[in-house]
Amino acid sequence: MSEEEHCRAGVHGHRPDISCREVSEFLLAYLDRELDEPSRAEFELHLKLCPPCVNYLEGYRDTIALVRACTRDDAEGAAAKSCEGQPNQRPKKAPPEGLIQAILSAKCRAAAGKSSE
Amino acid sequence: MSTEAASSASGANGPSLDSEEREIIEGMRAGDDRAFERLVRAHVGPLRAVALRLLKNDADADDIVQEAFLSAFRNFDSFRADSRLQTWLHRIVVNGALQRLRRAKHRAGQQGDGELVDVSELLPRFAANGHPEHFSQPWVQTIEELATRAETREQVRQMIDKLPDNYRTVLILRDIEELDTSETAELLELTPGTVKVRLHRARQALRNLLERELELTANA
Ligand SMILES: [Zn+2]
Repeated sequence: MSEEEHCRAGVHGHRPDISCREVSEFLLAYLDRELDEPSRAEFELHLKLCPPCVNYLEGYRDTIALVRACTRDDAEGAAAKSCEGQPNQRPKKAPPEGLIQAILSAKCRAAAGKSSE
Repeated sequence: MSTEAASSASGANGPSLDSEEREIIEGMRAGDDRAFERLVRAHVGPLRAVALRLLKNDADADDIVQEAFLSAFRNFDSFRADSRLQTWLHRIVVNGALQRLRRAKHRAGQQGDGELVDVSELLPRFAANGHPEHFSQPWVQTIEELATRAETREQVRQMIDKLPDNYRTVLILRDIEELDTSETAELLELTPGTVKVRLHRARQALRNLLERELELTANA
């Protein structure tokens, strides 16, 4: 939809009672199903008439999905799974043995301190 | 002490604990050293990832994870039988990391590490009549395509890191760690309303950044 068409829909078409600004504002409430029924209906009517707002909404949803997909398994496994032989990849930590040992000895000290009190 | 009450049929947290978890819990209660080591080995990886995500720094993340396990050791009495070890430890680590972020902020005034984006500049803009200044285009790549490229994954993580802490922490807790609004509000000492506003802005800003930096529209 061109900018012109979009504006025409606003003037001549069945004009929804909420603006693109409001769609953007209430997007989270809409996705979280927190809008009351009349507002939800208005929101959906706007989406039917306004492809740019649909694009905005889809990109917003995709942003959430992409954040999850790109952070989900970065602790382990990701390197092995999607490795494309890139030499500059961050060294992915195997189980951090150094940290484990540090924790175990810190705990021994803590336990010793506790029992000698 | 009896902990039977919570473990009957209706179990609040779904299926019963697996046997390893049960053994660890019993061992911890009995003061068994090996149980502590098993606890550490079973959970250190994901916990370190959470700490690193929040703190953006290896040394700080290690520190917080170590403190968290020590705290778990000292306060194992406060672990309640009807929750999962993972959930309990996660909460301790997140709390510790957030406290450290707050302290660091007080010390440094603002974060000194790397350039941060200005969220208000990344929000969508509208004319007085409510029409957008920029008409959103569909994205030309799918999430699956994007997320399989290691380079893109790294870019996405870097963009999250560029959000100011106020927004970054909310986004991490809600969208990555998948805590709910009230848990997030409690941990960050915010109202639920503020959590929602910040989450929404963080997502909008990130949406804009991703679209621009990854060139996700046809005529970008
Ligand atoms: Zn619209």
